[in-house]
This record gives sequence, structure tokens and C-alpha cells, in this order.
Amino acid sequence: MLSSEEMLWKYVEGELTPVQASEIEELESQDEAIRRRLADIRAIRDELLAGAPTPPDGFPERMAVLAERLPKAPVIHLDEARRFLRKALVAASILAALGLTYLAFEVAPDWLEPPPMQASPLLGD
Amino acid sequence: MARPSQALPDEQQIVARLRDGDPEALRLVVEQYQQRIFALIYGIVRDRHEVEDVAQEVFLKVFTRIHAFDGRSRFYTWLYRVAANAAKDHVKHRSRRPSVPLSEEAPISDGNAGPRAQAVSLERRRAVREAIAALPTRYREVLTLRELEGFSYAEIAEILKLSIGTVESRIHRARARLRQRLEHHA
Repeated sequence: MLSSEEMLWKYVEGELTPVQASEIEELESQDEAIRRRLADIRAIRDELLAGAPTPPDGFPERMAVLAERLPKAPVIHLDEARRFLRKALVAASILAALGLTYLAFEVAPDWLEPPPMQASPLLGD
Repeated sequence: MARPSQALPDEQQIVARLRDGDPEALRLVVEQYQQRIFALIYGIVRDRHEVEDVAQEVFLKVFTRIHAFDGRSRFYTWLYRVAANAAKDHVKHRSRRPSVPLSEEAPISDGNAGPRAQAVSLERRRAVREAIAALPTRYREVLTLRELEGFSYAEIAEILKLSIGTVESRIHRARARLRQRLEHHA
């Protein structure tokens, strides 16, 4: 259900059905407050629609010239970037795994070594 | 009501040319959208003297950042987003110099206004202009998109990356504030 204010805006925007629009027109002809409110809404819309400056002549051509003068940035295609990133991640994972393996077997500190086996008293000499 | 239907006829091709860095493609885009982008920027910035600079920044951003356009939405949706964001940034970072007084802005008795609006007194139209200028930027941008292009709430939500509910509520509040201010003025 639209509020009466919303109905007035939609009427000015031309979004009401013919039946709804004629109801508003009837109200407008009878009610001074509605008439004033509609005049305000129309003035707001006109101010929004007509107040902007006009682009100067030759603006599109000027923009094209400015664009041409810009330094060319390297083009990055997203698909290529994603493929490169995936390969880089795989390579980094392999290197990390090799590095950890090397650390574990070659330069592990003493405390990482398993404790020496002790003779069990049950087994005797 | 104006609609954003005047989209580029061969949008995909022009986007491809922009991606290839073709300045002629930018010229076509500017030619197609300049009027509406100027109006959108003015709706947010509300200073006629600053519109051209912001518009220039917008179109150069379109040219240099076209790779950020993923093609999932229509090109004009992205273009309007770039323009709205640039205009909002401009307002946010505007130097503290006093803005142009409303009296120095476009003449209120502008012949572009519709005949019904011309019937409204000059004083009333000045009040309308002041009321619009006094709105917070977030309200002005949704109202401008709605009235300028006749965008639906869903389209505005897509352009500004907001929920439809937020757009609806901002438009409602913007209109309520305008009404309140104009009633107070009367």
C-alpha cells in the first residue's frame, strides 16, 4: 500500500495507472494543500533535471586526446593472472615441503632425536 | 521519464576496445553519456563550477580502470557507479573554501524548467534549490538517480551496491526532509 506522499511522487513521475492518476487529478483540482505539494514535487524534479550544466563543445574529443596522452599501463588479463598465481602457489608449496624435509632430516636439533634404547631388566644381559 | 535505455548500441565491442586502450572508444562513450554523467555529478556535488573536472576524472577512470569492469552487469551500471563514487569522494575531500553561493549558481528562472515549474514563484524555487543542497550526500545521490534516469530501486541498489531496502528508505527520508524543509519555509 503506497502512502499518499508516495502516490504524489509516482503521479509526477508518471508511474500511476490511469485510474490512480485521475484520482490524483481530481484531488489536485479540489485541495489546495495537494496542489501546493504537487507544485513542490514538480519544482524539485525540475531542479534536479534542469539545473546541471551542459557539457562544453568538443568535450568527447578532448577526453579522447587526454586518454591518448596517458602512459600505457600494462594490460593484466584476469584469467592469465589467476593461472600464474595458481602455478606460483604450487611451486611455493613444493619448495616449502622440500625445505621442511631437509630441515627435519639434516639439521634437526639433538632434542628431536629419539631417545637411546635402554636395556630392559626383564631381558637381562 | 528519461530511461537509461540509450545504452551503447555495441556495448561489448566498445568495452573490448576500451580494454585495448583505444581512445576513440572513450570518445564514443563520452558522447553517449556526457549529459547524464554531468547531471548525476551535479546532483551530488551541487556546484556547477566543479562538475566538468569531476566528469573528466570519471571518464579517465573509465578508460584506465576498464579492467575492473567484470562484465557481469551492464556497462552503464558500472559507469554510473564510477561517477557516483567520484562525485561523493569530491564532496568528501572538497577543500574548505566556501562553496559557491546559491545566488551565483544557474539562474533560477532557467528556461529549461517545465512550464508548471515556471508557474512556481522564484522564491519557492530558490527554497527548493536550498532544500536539495541541504540534503546529506547519501540522500541526494539516490534521489538524483531516481529522478534523473527513472531508475528503479533495484537498479539504484545495483549501481550503488546497496540493498533495495536501504535505497527505499533513503529515498523516503530524502523526500520527507525536502517536504519538512519546504513546509517550514512556507
